[in-house]
Order: sequence, then structure tokens, then C-alpha cells
Amino acid sequence: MNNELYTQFDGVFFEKTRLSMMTILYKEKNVSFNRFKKIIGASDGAIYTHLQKLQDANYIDVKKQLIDDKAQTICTLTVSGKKIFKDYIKFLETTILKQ
Amino acid sequence: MIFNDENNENEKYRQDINTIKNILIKVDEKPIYENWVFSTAGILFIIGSIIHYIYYKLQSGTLTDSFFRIWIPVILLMLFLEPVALVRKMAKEALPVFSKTIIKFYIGLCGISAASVFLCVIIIKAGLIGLLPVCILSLWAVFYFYISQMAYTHFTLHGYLLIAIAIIFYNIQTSIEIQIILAGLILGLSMIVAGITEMTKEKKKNEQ
Repeated sequence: MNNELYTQFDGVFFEKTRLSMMTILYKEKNVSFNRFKKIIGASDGAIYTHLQKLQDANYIDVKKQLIDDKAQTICTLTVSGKKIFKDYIKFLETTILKQ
Repeated sequence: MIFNDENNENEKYRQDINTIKNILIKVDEKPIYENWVFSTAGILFIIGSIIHYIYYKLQSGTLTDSFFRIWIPVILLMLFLEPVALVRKMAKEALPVFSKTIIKFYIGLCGISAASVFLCVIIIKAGLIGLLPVCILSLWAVFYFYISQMAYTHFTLHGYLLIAIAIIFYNIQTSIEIQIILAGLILGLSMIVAGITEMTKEKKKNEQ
């Protein structure tokens, strides 16, 4: 079971805040920086760092959009981001069923 | 040792499942309107009730007149404000206005509105106009329950309160005019409280 886990998923994914971010992105598709802040309740700096890590791992796309004359940071899951999230949920399901 | 490792790993999965579950609950409980819309609608209801009371005291029109002169404009203003509050909220949160969830929400809302209007028309046509305030309070409770499925759960409490008040109205003997004025005031107060609660909840979330 251990090998199964570590060969499939990397360290970027295994962190509570980043997993929360991936869950929000999976559920809502387009998520703004402010929305992350509101749901997760972390500081701007912390959210920015986690977003950066997810972006570097190619799990999310980050774009700037003008909304009401204000620039907003909008994030979306990439294809590989969606895949790893789905795979992890499937993995959790199988793990629970095995027990 | 291997046994311990496996236990730790299982504990980690359990925590991950909890994280995902808690986030999904938080994501579901989101405001869909800017909170001012509730308080504004509440104030409109109260103003409508006051004007209706003046109408009633001056005896300057029938119930149908007051319906067309007071309540139709109040409802039209609310119908204008409601999508404005939704679009502004969606823009602020950078959520798509025509997302699947919002489309589903509006299809449901249109259905409930159509059924409510139909029910009110039936009641009036059946000569049971005296039951209109009871009916409106109960139908507004349905709206609250519906909104609570998408937004904050405190709307559920307002729904139950309105049902309780509707039952009281059904059992007391007062004129239809007084019942309409009281129902308007109660709905107004309930909307203002809902707006303030929503504003406080949002403030708390932002301060976290």
C-alpha cells in the first residue's frame, strides 16, 4: 500500500492547504484569490506560496482578469491537476474499501 | 514498525478525507447575493406595509387597488434588485454568472415563483382572499428553505419562524388588511435580520 501511494502522488499534493485548494478548484472550476482566502482563512502570503507551488507542479493555471476595473487572480485546474485529484480520490476510495 | 507506518498512513488518509469533506461543506455554504439586498428588500416590505396602513386608515382604495399601487411596485423593485445583487456578488467572487449551479438555482427559483403565483391566484379565485397573508408567509418560508440549500443555513431558521407565524395568523381572527400589514412588517424585519446575519457572517469569514 505504501509503494502504491508514493509512486502515484508527489509531495506538492500532500499538504492540507494545497489539498483544500485543489478541492475548491475541482468543485468550482474558476476560483479567485479572494475566494481562497475566504474559504481557507490563511494569509495572503501563505495562499500565494501554495498557489505558486501548485502552479510550478503544473496542477493549476493562474490568470489575471479585470473584474469591475480591478485585477483579480483567477485559478483553474489543469488537465494534470484534475487527473491527480481524481486519482487521489479513487485511491482513497480503494484504500477505504480494502480495510 | 511496518504496522506502525501503515497506521500512520491510514491516519493521514483519514485526515485528508476530513479536509476534503470540510472544504466541500464550506464551499457549498456560500453567499449568492450581496447582503444589502436582503436588508433593502426588508425596508421595501416595511415601507409597503406603512403605505398600506395609511391607505387602510384613509380608506382611499380597495384591497385590489393597494395590491396594484403598493405591492406590485415593491415586488418589481425587488425583482430588479435581486439579479443585481447576484451579478455583483458573482463578479466580486470571480464566479461565472452562468455556471451550472446558478442556472440550476434560477430554474428552481422560477419554478417556485410560478407555483407560488399560481397558488395565490387559486386562493383569490376561490374567494379565500382572507388566507392570502398566511399563504404568502408560508411561501416565503419555502423561498428561505430553498436559498438555505445554496447559501447560509440561517435562512432555515427564518423559514421555520415564518411557518410558525403563518399558523398563528391562521388561528387568529383579524381583518385581512391588518394581516397583510402585519405580514409585510414581519417579512420586512425577517429580511433585515437575514441581511445583517449574512453581513456579520461574511465579516467574520473575512477577518479569519
